[in-house]
Amino acid sequence: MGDLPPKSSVKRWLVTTNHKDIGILYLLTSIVFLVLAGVLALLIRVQMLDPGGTILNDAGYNQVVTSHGLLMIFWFLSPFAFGFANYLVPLQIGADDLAFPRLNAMSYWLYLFSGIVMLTSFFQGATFMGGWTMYAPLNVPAYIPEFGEIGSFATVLALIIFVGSVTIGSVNFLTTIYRMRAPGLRMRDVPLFSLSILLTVWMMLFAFAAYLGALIILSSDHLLSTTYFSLADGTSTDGGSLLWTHLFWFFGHPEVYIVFFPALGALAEIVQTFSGRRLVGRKWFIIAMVLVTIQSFIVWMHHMFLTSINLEIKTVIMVTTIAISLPFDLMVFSLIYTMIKGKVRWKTPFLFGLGALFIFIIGGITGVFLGAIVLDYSFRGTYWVVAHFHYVMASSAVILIGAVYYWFPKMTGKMYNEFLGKVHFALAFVGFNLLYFPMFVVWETPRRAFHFDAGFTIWHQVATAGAFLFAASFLVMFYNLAKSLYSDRMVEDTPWAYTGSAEWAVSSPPPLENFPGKPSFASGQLEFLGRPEADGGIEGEAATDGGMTADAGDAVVAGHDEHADHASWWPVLVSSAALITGIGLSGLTTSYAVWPFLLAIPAFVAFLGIEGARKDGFLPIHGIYMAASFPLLAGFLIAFHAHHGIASGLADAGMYFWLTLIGAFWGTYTLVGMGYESFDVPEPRIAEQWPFESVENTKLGMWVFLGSDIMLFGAFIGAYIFTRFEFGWTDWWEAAGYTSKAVWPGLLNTYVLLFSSFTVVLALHYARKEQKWKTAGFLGLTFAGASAFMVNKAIEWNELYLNQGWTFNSDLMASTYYFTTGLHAIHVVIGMLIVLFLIARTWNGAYMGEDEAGTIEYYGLYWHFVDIVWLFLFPLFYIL
Amino acid sequence: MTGSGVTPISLLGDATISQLSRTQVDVFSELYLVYLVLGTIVGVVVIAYMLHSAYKYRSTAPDAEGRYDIEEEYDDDDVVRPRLGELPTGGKGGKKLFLSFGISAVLVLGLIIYAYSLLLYIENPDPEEEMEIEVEGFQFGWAYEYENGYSTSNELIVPADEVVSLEITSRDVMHNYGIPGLRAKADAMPGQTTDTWFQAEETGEYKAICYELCGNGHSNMREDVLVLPPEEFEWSDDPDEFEEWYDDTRDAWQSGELDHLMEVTN
Repeated sequence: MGDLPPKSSVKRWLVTTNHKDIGILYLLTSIVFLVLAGVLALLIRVQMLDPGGTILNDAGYNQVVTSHGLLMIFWFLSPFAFGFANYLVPLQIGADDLAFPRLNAMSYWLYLFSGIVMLTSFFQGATFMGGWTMYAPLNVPAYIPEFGEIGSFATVLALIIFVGSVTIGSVNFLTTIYRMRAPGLRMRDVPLFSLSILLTVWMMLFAFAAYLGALIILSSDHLLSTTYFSLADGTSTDGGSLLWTHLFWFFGHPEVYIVFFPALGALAEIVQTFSGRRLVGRKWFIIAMVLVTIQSFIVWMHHMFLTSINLEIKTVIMVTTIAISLPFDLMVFSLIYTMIKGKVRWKTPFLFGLGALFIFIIGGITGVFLGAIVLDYSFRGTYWVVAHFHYVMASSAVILIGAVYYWFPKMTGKMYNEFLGKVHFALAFVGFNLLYFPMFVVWETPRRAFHFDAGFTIWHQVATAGAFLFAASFLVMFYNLAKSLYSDRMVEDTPWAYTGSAEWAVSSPPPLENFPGKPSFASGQLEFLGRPEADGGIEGEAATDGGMTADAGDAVVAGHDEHADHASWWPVLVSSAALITGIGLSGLTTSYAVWPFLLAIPAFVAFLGIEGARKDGFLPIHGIYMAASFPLLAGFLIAFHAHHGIASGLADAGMYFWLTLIGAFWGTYTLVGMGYESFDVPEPRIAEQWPFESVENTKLGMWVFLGSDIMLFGAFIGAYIFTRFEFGWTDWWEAAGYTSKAVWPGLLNTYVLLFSSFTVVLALHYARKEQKWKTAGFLGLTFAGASAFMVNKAIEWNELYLNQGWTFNSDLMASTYYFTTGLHAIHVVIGMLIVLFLIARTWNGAYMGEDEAGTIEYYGLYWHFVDIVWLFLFPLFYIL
Repeated sequence: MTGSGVTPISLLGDATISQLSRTQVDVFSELYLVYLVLGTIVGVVVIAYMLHSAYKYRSTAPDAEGRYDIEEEYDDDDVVRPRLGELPTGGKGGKKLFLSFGISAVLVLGLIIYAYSLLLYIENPDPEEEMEIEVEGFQFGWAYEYENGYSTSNELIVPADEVVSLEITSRDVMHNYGIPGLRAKADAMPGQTTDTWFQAEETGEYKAICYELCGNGHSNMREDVLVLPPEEFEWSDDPDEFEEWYDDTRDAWQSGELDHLMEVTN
């Protein structure tokens, strides 16, 4: 697609895939969510003005508490940090853009639309009201008041869409940072902010995948009436409540660092710049961060010290918890020692950094209290916890506000007003501590209760006053930044002294292509090697101590010659389908749940033919697809008629069904459109790529994505094994009445899948040899294998589900069986749809030759992965 | 915590009542005080040092005309400052860093080992005898069952100076049973059993509060725990007899006749 419209045009912001534009979009959108979540916080504080506050009722208060947490953590903190990450990471590492610009745009739109689904839930009766931790079984329909059921499910769906955004973003950032660094920039040389983002996305990749598993399981209890958390009669399951705490906190604890790390990286850069000193013990600072990243996955049960876990586990978790606090000690000392012998300038960003460090130290010390299990027993569910995690998590918000002042000149080319910046800091710092410190004093107040002991009143009133002061301080910032944007305080490359990283070596704001030449650290110092094009005139301005030189003769810059695309409609369109489908699903009843997606299959096949014919010219394969969509549609209609009756079924379907249908339909169309779009993103020819020199960007992206998919299946399989252990491992199938559950359908399917994996390998082989028909033929065989798998499965499910009446909610065995193997089946179907696309493209002559066959290889990775998953599911569900 | 396994015996104002030397309240208070004092000292020292450093090394260079922030023309020391476009390296000061890290690690480890020793006591107090009560959370209240089979909800009535061991579960959603005045707390989860214990040293009225968001009635899920002098607590192995005494006692308490026995009141 084409070039970018100017920034004054609305269209620009809808089609842009440029990382800086998207960074700005992230920052502005997340600030909107900050304001919304902040208003909710003020509502809480007004309610707490007196012991028997009355402005909110019980359901209202629970909704406010829940959505305040969800919005702040998911829709403000992380996206705010990733606004900076989008803008700065490519600049800091010397890349033109992220590895997958269209996917980056999609991350943003999915984020925005997930937020809209979340906000919509307020108007669907009530939003979720069980706390941001969503403990089971308060999170399933049996325990949600009827007026809140649709809105509650909408909240869960919003989170699923949000996780989609996060996963795509993680894949993108990992690929970018590993594969697109300027020559000479080794991993250890990556600026601390970008490095903190790298570690953050590693945690995101795995933690959010586990959370996705939990959310999908929860959705299934809502939509398909499976029985993970509550049985068909509405009573709770024996293991469900504990299962959720495990699944949730396995995500939830890394999430704390996911929120904090980007801020920590920004803090390190701010302290370094404004102290005019290199970070003391930089190497150890990095090692400490890596340690925290790894350890973050083995401490989750410290959120569960009062559950039924035993003393041995508590002991282990106490040790890992204390161990994870020590790297933070080192980082705090490192930051403090960096100021020594510095040239410390008390500018606004530094004030926020210092203030945040002050806050974080208090948050850290009070966290050690919680690590002592005996104290934790009493602190559990009280305002001690509330105060502690606000001192930790909100300190990252304070740092990021400092980051706004730090990078505002870079992003806008204008300087903010220093005096107003300091006023903002003073108000914010005083407000913050007035707000949260009293919570330590009256920590005996039960958390999430909207009445409290009269003796605590004065302290809660102080907190409320602090909250308003804190909130008001942001108005000063908004005024300051808006005013400064139109001021004449121009900024050149860097307004700050002692900056180091590459973003300060380009103009403010940086040009679309980021650098005046190919950035390189090969000489040990940033240089811009000249581009052959005429735009080489900029390079002289990027002045430092003579480090920048133009070398027009260098041939390695050829990578810049290729024209890169920057605009595409598809990301926003695809994401809008998620918005529509999400809202639609929230109110769908169980009997209508699968139909919209079944209809999407004929639609997808038809669109493949129609769009393919438009893009590549009409080929027989397009005709086949168009023709095939009719029997598929007929099959859909027959099946729908059998279950609902076409006329009566559609008449009863209701608004949410139609919304889901439109969303699914629109989703298939836009995905096909995005698939056929040619969008050129040249990979840098020369870049620092350790340790992935020999893996192309897309392949690395696929590996990384599959890594998250492993976690997703891990959550599902883990949930199954956990549930089965809680029930009694050996009694499992007997209790379901399946003493001799047939093994052969599973065994047959194992062979079928292995066969289809083999044919993908052959397809790749012939694609490399440029033998088009053999490639298409083996792809076709792969499709046939997958079809056989699905047909076999359909027969098996038909027998179990319809003939034997063993439905989703019959028992725990049915729920785990159908749902875990069902997730795998969905992966198979997606694989089949992609194969159809590949066949159409192959027919047109795509993917031929060593250089082009990559797409089939990446698809093969996915397909092998799906097969390997089956190799685990088969024994777990058929043999054991 | 595991119970001592002693079967219930008559607790009727017996002089042989077994007491633990330290209650949960004692342990918590001691540990909390130690943490509070040390935590405050560490916090004050570190923050003061941080502010001192930031102030002592503040730049003395005046803001130059037309610039927002300037590098000083000359350095009076041999510190290497960050330069634009450099490959980043660390600054000097690693020795000091490790020294302070080491001190903090020793302090934290010491605190945690000390806390762990107290945890082992809390988890396994091993009294000679104890009174076992099953607690079941529901939306929105607590149901209790004594060892004699008598079950009740709303108030819990127990004797002072006696180790009361609680087995806690839930019949619907997750709750958390806590008596803050006695420092007893445990999650109440459906299908799971957790336990905790307390030993009230003062008679009076305490509150059993739900500490986990459990639905619309959560904020008001606070009920009374009545601790009576041991000699007033009339145990009976016969649930009917016990129920009779229980009802009478509740009525007496509600009409204020027991006020003179209450050392602690809500």
